[in-house]
Amino acid sequence: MKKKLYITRTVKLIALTLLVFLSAIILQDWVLRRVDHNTLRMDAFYMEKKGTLDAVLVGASDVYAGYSAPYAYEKYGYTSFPFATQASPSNIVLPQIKEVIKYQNPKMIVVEINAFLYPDNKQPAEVNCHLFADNIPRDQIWRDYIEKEVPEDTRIEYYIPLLKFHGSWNEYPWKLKYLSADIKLRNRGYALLRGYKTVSKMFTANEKIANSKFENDDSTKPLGPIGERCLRETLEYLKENDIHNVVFTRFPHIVRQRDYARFKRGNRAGEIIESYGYDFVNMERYALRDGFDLEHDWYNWDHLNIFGAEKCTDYIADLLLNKYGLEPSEQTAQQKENWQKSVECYHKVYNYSESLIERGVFGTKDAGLRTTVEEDDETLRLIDEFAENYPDYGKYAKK
Amino acid sequence: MTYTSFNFLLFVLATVVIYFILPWKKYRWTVLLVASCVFYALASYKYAAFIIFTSLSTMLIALWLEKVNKKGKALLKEKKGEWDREQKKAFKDKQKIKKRWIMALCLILNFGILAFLKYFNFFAGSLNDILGSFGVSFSAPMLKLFLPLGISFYTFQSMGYIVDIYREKFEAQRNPFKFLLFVSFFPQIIQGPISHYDQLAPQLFEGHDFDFTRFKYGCELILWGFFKKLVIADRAVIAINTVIATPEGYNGYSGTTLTFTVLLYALQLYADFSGGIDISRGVAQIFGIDMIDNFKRPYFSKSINEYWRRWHISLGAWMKDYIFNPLAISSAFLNASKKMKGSRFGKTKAGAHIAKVLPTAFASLIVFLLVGVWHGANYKYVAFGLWNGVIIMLSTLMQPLFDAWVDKWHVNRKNPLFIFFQIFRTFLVVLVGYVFDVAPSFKQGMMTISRFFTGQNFALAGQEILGKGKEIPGLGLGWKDYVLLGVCCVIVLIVSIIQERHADTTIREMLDKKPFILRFLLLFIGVVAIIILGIYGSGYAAADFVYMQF
Repeated sequence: MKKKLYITRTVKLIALTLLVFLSAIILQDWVLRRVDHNTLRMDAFYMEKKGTLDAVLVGASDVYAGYSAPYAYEKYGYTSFPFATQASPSNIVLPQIKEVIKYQNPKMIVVEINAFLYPDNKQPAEVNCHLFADNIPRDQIWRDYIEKEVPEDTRIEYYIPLLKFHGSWNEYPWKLKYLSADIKLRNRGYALLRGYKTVSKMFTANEKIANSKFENDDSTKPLGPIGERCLRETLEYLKENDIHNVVFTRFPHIVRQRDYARFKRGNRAGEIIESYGYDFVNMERYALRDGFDLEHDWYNWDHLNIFGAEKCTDYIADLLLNKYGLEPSEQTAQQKENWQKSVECYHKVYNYSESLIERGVFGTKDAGLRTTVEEDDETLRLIDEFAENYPDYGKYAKK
Repeated sequence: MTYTSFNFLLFVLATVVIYFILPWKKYRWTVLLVASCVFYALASYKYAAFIIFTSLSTMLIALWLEKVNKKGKALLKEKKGEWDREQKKAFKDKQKIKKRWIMALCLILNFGILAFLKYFNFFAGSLNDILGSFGVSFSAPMLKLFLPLGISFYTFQSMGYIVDIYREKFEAQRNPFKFLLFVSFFPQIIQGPISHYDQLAPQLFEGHDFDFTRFKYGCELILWGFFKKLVIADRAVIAINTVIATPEGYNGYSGTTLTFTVLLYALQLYADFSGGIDISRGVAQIFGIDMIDNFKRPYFSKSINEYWRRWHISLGAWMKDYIFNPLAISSAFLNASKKMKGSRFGKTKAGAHIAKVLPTAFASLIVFLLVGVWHGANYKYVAFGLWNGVIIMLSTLMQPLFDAWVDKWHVNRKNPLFIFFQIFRTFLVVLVGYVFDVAPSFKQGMMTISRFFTGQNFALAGQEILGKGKEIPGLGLGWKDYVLLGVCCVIVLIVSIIQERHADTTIREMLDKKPFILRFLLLFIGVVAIIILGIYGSGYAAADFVYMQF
């Protein structure tokens, strides 16, 4: 009798524990998962079949706002993807490159150096490490990253993200559009915008700008110790592993006088990169010479708008095709069809964004107009509606 | 390692396993002792010397007291035929004085440490202010002092023990390790309850067998404590801390926001302290130890007197046993009462009542002044204590007047509306006390009270509480958090009403009679609710238990 009682109690306890454990997993991986455009982009990257991307760009928000893979495909015929997360810190650049090599091994890797330029006291918040680490496969690269770069007391939150993001119940219903988009993305098997994100705005600087004097400016400033360590570790890894299909770049920014130090750190990073035998292409330095328009091509200090992104993509494409001899790979019919859908989607985005910029709706309370354009459900609905209502509008209007 | 950390749960689990698998029941208390030492060392190893000193000094002085006692009694027995009444009385008086001095030595030593660490800077600062206002250039040094973990609680508990030994309530403990366990028992070291030796110690030293029902009840109580602490208290404290973060900011808020903050504080303080106590009691219950309940639905109190019998019961009981009762029956107070009774005023009806209750009224005032000071070295706590003391004193003195009014207006004391009025009135009085607790300083406490009457602005408060764009940042909580807090309030209220109506049992016992599936579902929902809604992890600033600082 007593034995039976013990068994019943044990079974009940185990059942409760299991149920809680199972619920925790469901909560962690779905209900309370931190999901936003970064998650969608990361998920989409891992959905690209290995070896199908000709080029991958690594970096932060400058990259996914300043480079349009569908546009590059349409105009130049090569496939690419911005493997980037918002405000990515310097210590994720090397794991990013490792992931790119492991899961794609593209012909060219373009590394934007923004992450290395933060001074030590202005490193991105720890949550930005999660944007990367929580969205990559839990492989050796992930484990190495956690062990090496994450402080011991917060490591548990990488192993169990629920500990950190359990409070994201608060983001409902806002994040439903991302969760739904993520489900659709998984069903579709690829991202329509291939990681591109923009804000429909033309930026007018209200502070003194330093860009005009950059062309002949070789001045440097030391990188922060963390930034320099990460940059050197990245370069050493590339060199040690005989990886040469990498080019480092600096995307163009509008540089305020008070951000001048960052430009000089960019020059210093260039020196270090070149000292290891790698190329550094400083688009920021030659932005004005190369046709970027400070009053037309950005949506804020650090990010190109849809007009600037096309110019930047042209620049990168020219670099990859003409300087590094990138030859677009052959695509299967299905891949071609998918990329064509991306191009069509991008056209809609461009037209929609262009119209909002022209009407100057950013920051206004124009009902139903969303100036941030990314691959969530709400945006896709809006751009479809726009394309339907204004088929003749914009650069990519259906003729 | 706080009570709400994952590490603490693992620590408890490991201690439970070791405790119950130890084959020698007689020595199971040693597991608790080791666990308590490890817990204290992990939390505050640098200051472990203080708790060891208190334990050792109290135990040795208690033995000394007992020895004096026994020796005296033996001598009295020996001289039974020899000494006359006068000689016996003289000896007893001498003995009493000797015992008092010995007890005083222990009290001075241990309360001295507490007072020095807790109040030195307060008194030094006050002295400097006073001397400065007279133009004296002397400046008492301000020291970098620290408070060892749980010092107020273990000092009070130990000093209660020494007074009980002085009163010969029980025999002194001779085993220093057992006594150390009584002082440092890990579930109660952070914030009490302050236990009496005869209530707690025998349970600690008795080897308990594993009891599944106790285990289950203990876990359920811990779960309820976690819910109150992590979901309610630590959420509410985000808004409260935003308001009190800077004195300038505090002054800038509207009266409505300050009123809202004080209300939120009432919720936070109750959820925090009672939640912590539930965790402590739950852990102890798993080991087979029943600690006293520190709370009995305090916000249902119909008078401030009753509130203090329902809130922080162990401190109230301690104060009653060791401060209030000795004061109320002290010759000074009784003489004053007698003197008044004999006066012309004492012959009147009101005078006779006042003369009768005067000792208790004044004793209450002193006790609450001490309660205030116990909360912290700051004039705001003095004001908090005085406010409660004065209200209790006045209500004691004016009770006949209130009774007369009630009779005159033919109020039915059992009328639910009247009961609600009493509860509401008491809650308001409690809230005024909390104003001093929550305000950064006494001055700002007074300012808050004035704002209650002059600064009400609901439209502005809405913006201040929820935020408006970048100009008004809000109090750090979104509207969903406030809705959640509201829902939690309703849950706590329902549970409290059930507890109030079934005081002879516990919710857990009542639940036990419900179908298994319902209990299972409730437990499951409870755990998941804490996982989702709790404030923990590095994204949040985990708040210490409020009473940990006292």
